[in-house]
Amino acid sequence: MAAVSSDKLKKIEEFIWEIPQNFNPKMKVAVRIYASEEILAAINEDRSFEQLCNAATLPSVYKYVLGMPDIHEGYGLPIGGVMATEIAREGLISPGSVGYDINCGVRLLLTRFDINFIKDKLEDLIETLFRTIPSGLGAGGAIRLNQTEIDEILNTGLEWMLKKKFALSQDLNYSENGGKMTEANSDKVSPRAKQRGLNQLGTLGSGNHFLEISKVEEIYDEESAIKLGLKKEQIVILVHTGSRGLGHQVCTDYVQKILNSPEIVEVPDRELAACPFDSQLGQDYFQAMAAAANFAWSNRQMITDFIRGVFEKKFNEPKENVKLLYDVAHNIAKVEEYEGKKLLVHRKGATRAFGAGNSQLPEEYRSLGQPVLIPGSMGSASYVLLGTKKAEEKTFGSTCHGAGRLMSRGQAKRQISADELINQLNEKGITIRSYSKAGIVEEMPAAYKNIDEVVRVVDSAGISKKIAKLVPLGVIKG
Amino acid sequence: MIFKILPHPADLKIEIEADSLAEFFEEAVKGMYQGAGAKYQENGFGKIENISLKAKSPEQLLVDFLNEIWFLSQKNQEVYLKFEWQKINPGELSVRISGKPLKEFETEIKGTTFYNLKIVQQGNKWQTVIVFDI
Repeated sequence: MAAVSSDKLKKIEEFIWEIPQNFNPKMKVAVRIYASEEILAAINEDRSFEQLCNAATLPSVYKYVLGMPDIHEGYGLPIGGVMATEIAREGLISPGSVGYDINCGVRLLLTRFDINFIKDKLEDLIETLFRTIPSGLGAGGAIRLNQTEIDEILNTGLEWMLKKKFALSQDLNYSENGGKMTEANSDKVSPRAKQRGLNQLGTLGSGNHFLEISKVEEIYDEESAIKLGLKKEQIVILVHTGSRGLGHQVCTDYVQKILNSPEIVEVPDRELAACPFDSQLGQDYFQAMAAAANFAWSNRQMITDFIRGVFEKKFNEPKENVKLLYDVAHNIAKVEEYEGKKLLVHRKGATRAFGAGNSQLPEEYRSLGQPVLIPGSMGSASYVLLGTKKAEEKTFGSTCHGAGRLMSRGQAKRQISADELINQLNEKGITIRSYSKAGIVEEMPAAYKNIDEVVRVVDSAGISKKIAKLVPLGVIKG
Repeated sequence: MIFKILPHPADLKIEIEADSLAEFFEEAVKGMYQGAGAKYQENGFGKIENISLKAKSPEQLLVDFLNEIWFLSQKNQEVYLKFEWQKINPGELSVRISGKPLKEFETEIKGTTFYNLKIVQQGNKWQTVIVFDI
């Protein structure tokens, strides 16, 4: 597929742009992109439109392939891409349309404390968390699993964490799928993938993974915020990480298997490598992906338990007072029903956003909609939103996942030194801790799109509703 | 022989050129380690490992090789920059690699992708551009 520039887009509604199906004879469906003019101008400089069009050529792809406003170039499906395949029409499953970091996701923890309580304790809190929670690459976890334990985690996710008292029952209630995809099968995860995961439970990893102590800066919907347990000046904690090396290996293993399989479907980009969902190989990957997803939920849960332990020790705070608001996955494939059809929805850098009334939501949120957590880049705001019925109608129940990168890491490093950036962030009242100075610069706010604009698009387009804005106080960068 | 890190908004993109297939594969490893910000003990000694792979295409062979090297690096906490080739052609390789103890990686290679991967041979020169998910 040739490069696609933004002048090929047709505006069909405010914030919705389309590349029509007849743009390329191989496309089975159109492409729809949620963006403002400002965001489109930024996207135009990478290959994400082309990658969406490539995905639109896959057999069994349903209705349209979607790009969220945080979209950026990746491989296979771009980051910020959503693609649904129709299971009854030999629907395909594509590991590269989920990504290597299976169930990379984010959770938000609520505390009883406000900024007045925490401000003179913040440095010490950040330092303690930094020493407690392994971050950076190669950092092994405090927990070393054996083969039996890792199989149990792969198969049962947060249920195992609850059994071992690393989770509270509320944590299962407030995670997608209850923190356990029932399709998981540890037998479909290779010994090599398991080996990589044995010492990685409870680790942040590196890159754009982080733990952030934030303050609720603004409330946009007071009534919903109260029901979610959010209020201005409240201290909250974001945790962003995924399935670590275990998940990466699952994706690597299955891309290889599919490329070598007679069931492989012809694709314009080998990273879209796909096979029928109902084939043995398709089911094997789905079960392995589900197992890796369970590992990721368990990883975020282990970190949560570490955080609760720190609060208990420092502030005599019972663990149940550090509450999970919600945990969302943003690299995953799920079987969901839309327009009376069973679809396999691939979200790669996109968040599920179910609206009010959806039976898959916990009872406490059913009248509100699903909490959607959109972390900004290091040093910029993050947002809490709610999913909507309109998202279910228009975007296969999906919305954005973050700010979306604009700038290469090399370019970021040329803009500013680590020490200058740290000073700038310190002057804004943000404490940063990281094992890698280069890593800090790579994640600087200017390397990402404007998160306020990304969130404005999804809110204005009606696919998520803004509830609260969070600002960072302290960041532990992976 | 060269590798060059190219701009990419999110991932690691490397251009590789070499005068032989063996050097080409070695440069790909070096580029991957540079992109990962590998720091190691220059004077240290690590493990010796043997890698034997077959693939349907040189692209698949390269991806499988880089994934294998990364796996061993993670498992043994080493980097591999010394290669003794027993066999290498576009569909098969067999090599002994020697490690040096790793101090740290700054960036995690999540996977070696096939995105737009095409290995071009012109005479003795081998060239490609490869993208890693980081």
